[in-house]
Amino acid sequence: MCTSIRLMIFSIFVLSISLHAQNIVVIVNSENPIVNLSSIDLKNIFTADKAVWDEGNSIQLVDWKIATNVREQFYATILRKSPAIVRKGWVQKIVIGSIYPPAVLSSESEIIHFVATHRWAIAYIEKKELPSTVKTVTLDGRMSNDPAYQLK
Amino acid sequence: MRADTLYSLKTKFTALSLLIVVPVIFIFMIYYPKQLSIIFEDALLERYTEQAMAASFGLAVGLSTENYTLIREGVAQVKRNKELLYIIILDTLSDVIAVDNRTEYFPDVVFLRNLPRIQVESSIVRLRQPIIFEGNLLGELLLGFSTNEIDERLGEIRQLSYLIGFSSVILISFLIWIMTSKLTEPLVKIAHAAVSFSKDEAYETIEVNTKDEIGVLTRTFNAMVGKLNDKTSALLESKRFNEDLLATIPSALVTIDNSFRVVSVNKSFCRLFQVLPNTVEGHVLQQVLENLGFPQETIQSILYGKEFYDVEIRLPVNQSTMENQPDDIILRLTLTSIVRHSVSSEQLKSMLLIIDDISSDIKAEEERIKLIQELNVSTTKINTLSGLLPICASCKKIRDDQGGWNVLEQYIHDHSEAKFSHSLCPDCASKFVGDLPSINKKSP
Repeated sequence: MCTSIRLMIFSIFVLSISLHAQNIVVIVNSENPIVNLSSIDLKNIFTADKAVWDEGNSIQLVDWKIATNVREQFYATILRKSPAIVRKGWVQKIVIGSIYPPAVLSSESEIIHFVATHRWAIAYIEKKELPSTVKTVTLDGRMSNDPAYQLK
Repeated sequence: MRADTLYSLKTKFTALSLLIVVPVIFIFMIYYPKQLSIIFEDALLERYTEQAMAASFGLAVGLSTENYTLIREGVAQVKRNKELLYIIILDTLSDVIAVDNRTEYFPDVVFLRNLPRIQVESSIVRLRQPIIFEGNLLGELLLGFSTNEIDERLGEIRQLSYLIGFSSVILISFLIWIMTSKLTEPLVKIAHAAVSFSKDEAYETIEVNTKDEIGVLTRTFNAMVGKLNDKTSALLESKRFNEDLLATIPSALVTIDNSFRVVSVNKSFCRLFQVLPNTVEGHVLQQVLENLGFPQETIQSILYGKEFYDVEIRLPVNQSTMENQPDDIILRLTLTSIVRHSVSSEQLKSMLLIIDDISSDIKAEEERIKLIQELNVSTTKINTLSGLLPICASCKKIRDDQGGWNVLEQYIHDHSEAKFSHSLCPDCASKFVGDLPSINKKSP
């Protein structure tokens, strides 16, 4: 019973997101050597299943605060989980102590600033002009202007 | 006569004190860790509860604002506790949000949900802490802590209390021993002094400076012994005087008690019978007299006769203990009873046997009698020739008591030891020679 209610809520959530779809880009610090991420890696990073970069450095995750369109769109398209489920995963990981918890910020400028100041940080924002200290990474080898880009 | 160490006052005091103190210490050793464990357990539970509350507050804020840092800090609050066994976060529907199970102490969640807020089990403390933010229940935090810390601390407390307890027993025993030694020291001194005093050894005054009952006792004892010493000295002096007095008495004296045992003998007795006092004193009179060679009928008379008895006996030479005695001994025995009164006015009956060696007296008497007899005879004889003798003026015959006339020579011969040998005096001789000239001429 509980699970069906949750599924229903999630479907409504995904539908509502699709109505307000925006072009989202994944950003990292410009010093981070990463240039491309697969959508699975991205999902694993944001569901706390992947905690380190390929070079072995801990990933410093940045997320949006609750109930923002960008976050809801990102969760619906990439993570394909409700924020509650994702949060549960994060809480579980935090409780176990296996990962560094994500920073939850409320504005784009804060997020950009965080990524710019943290070398191994990763975040997602609406596509826009970025400072030189931050760069976007391709998703599954596709740029954000690619029609097949997943985060549209 | 020395107090047995096992039963000495010091041992008794120490044992009694230990009998009181040791159970108290043992009760302390049991009671103290128990009380401490309760206090310690309460303190620990309070600490765990505080940690759970702090964690739930961090979780509440973190979950409601999705501030993972706060969640992490909240969790860290309890995870810093090394006794933590498990941490479970439930949502409002009691679904598990997160679990960190460090050990096998992770039971069924349904079981945990139905537990009271705090449950202390044998090896685990289980806590349930609601996660509430601004009055809204967000979930529940379930924590399990090991009781190892409590157990370890209790073990330490127990060990410490045992150490303190046993050390206290040893220390208190030592202190009690010293204390009782100090307390009983004057009593021990008094006891030793009393023993010495009873053995007629020199008594040294006990030095006790305390003003308590023992001090009073000691001073009184010293005074008492001083008086006793004075009286003993006086008695000894009196005894010596009596002994000297008895020694000067030539009669042999034997003091006998009412059970016919020899109490004492004087020097004359020893001298007479050539025995030592200790071979006689304390012995049964009958045996003593038998050994001395007294006739059996005399002994029986002394033992079963009258209170006053006076007899002379003769001890044959071969039966007497006396050596170098050429003749039989003649003894005069006089038994007289003595009634004395003790200090408690009790009548004490004893007897005195006086033995006099009258052998020489008897001998002297016999000699005297003989002499008298001889003297009487002589006197008689002298008396025979004394007095006025009627003698014939002519023929010189003497008239005897019967009126007969006896020749002078015959009369004197009959009435004296004198004997006559006939001869001529010069006058008679000249007279006769004159008648006989031939004879006279031949004479020078």
